[in-house]
Amino acid sequence: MFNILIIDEDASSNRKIEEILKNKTNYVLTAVPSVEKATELIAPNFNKEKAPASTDGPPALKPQLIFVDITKIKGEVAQWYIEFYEILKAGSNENTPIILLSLSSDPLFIRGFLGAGVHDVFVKPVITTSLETTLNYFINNNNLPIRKMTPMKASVEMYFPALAQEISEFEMKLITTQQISLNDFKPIYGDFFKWSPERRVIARCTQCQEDEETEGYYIETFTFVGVPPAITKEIRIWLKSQYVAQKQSAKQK
Amino acid sequence: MAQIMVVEPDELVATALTKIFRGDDEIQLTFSENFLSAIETLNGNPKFKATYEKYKQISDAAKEELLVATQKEIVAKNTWNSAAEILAKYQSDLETITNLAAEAKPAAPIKENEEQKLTLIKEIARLSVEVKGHKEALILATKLKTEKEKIAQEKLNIAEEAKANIPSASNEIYSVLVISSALLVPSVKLWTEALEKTLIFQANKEIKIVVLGFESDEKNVKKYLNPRISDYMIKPVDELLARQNIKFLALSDKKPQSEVYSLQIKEPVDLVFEYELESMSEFSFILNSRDKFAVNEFKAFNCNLFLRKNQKSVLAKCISSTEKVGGGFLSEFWFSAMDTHLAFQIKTVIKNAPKI
Repeated sequence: MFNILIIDEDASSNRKIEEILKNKTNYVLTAVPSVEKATELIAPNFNKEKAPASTDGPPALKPQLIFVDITKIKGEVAQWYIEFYEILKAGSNENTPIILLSLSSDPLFIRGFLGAGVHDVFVKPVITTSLETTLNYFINNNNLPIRKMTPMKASVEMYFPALAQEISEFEMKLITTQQISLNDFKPIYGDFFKWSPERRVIARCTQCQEDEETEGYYIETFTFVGVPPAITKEIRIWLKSQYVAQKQSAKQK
Repeated sequence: MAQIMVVEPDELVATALTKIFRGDDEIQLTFSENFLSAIETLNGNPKFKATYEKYKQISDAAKEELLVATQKEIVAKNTWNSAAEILAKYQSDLETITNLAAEAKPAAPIKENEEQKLTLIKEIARLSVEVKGHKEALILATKLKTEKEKIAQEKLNIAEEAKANIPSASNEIYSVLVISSALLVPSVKLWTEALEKTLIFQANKEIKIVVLGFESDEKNVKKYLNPRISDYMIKPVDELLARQNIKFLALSDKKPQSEVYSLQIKEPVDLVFEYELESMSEFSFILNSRDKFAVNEFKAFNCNLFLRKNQKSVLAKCISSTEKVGGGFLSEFWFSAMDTHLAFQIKTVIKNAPKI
């Protein structure tokens, strides 16, 4: 029996998954509306450390796959995953893969909800082939289906997340896990300037050094290159407003 | 004080640059009418080129002579080697025949063997003389090469020393070359190559280049960005930006300007990396990259092939990243967060893909 647990209150989505699995045997589907309800099923003694382990009642659920709707990920994402991992561990399910369910298909939105243990993300309504491929993957000892690769030539851009630490109208200091070669030109965009992948700045890496405080991280300075006057103006306005806000907040303190 | 060479036919831009650096004790601007006159100035004294050429010729001739002597030595060595090989073979044959004759003697001497032996003895005597001659020729060639090597090295040293000591016009070293994009003809790549060839004064060879242009869209700006070009500024240049960035490149002491303030923030941004797509299936795609990717990491990608309504990017998870023969990596990414539109789009792209 292959146990699947869904943590989602979206009845239509749950029904869709149920329908896909209807004609297949050996699947047991359990849907709960919240993480709390899921905890009761998979780790009944979680948060009841003082209470003796109960032998009464049905045995704890041992899911082989857990679907979690991203709206269930509350608060700070990394912290949520740490807490959820504890729940899984309490029920000896720490290796159970997680599949996120999302109404939005925007990768830049979904990216903010990814964490340790996430195997895949399904956009609602779930595509039959995606679900079948994933289930087959787990049933067939993690073997991926045969892919018929078609040779293709095209340029692909990858968005590599970084954290801006300091910004002036000419340059930006970032923390990343990727070491960038000096004088490499990279387009950069960030929501905070209302930039977008289509509207962004090019910058040259003028400094790159290992972060002494955190292993595996680099502190890099990027100088803006070929910045259109409109963007320079936007940056200045934003900087001014932030500067004023910071001053006011310091005064209030 | 840092010297900056400006080659900008647009008077308005030139005036703006003058205004930007007016009264700046750390920067001195030199204007040039065109690229060629700028190169002449950067190469220093007008006599510099002639003197440089003279010593370059001496140096090149010495290198040429050395090459000829080395080739002659190789030929002599090969001739001697082949003659010595034949001699060794004949000597071995003679030994075999002598042994055979010695074994047959008590019964009856073999006439044919005796004749062959005599022929071989004659050949060996002739070849020994020949090999000796070749050996002598090789010794001579090696001696000549050694002499030429010594002479060439001396000439090279003289030429190099002379080149290094040639003074420029006023021994001026320029830190930055600010040039209009209109002058980077016929293409940025060819212009850069021409600069490398024509700029011969060693001290100015590492000059940093800033391009001024009207193009502001990323595709066109990227045309001007190569490892030799440090910055590109859009005209009309922003005064503060030009002063900050040009000074930053010109001065070794890279302090920010006093009127520039920076803010401490904590905001997510994205760096954009470019890769080449190798192949694609309905489940995954393979990228050709310089970097290795961590398996199981999710990344957001943008490609015209994934173009769909209001959304250009896709989420994918790295399932393998293997090193290629000859460097670089081939990494396979599994499509994630697929909706029906994207699934359909990918199928259509694969179906309509031209045969490669």
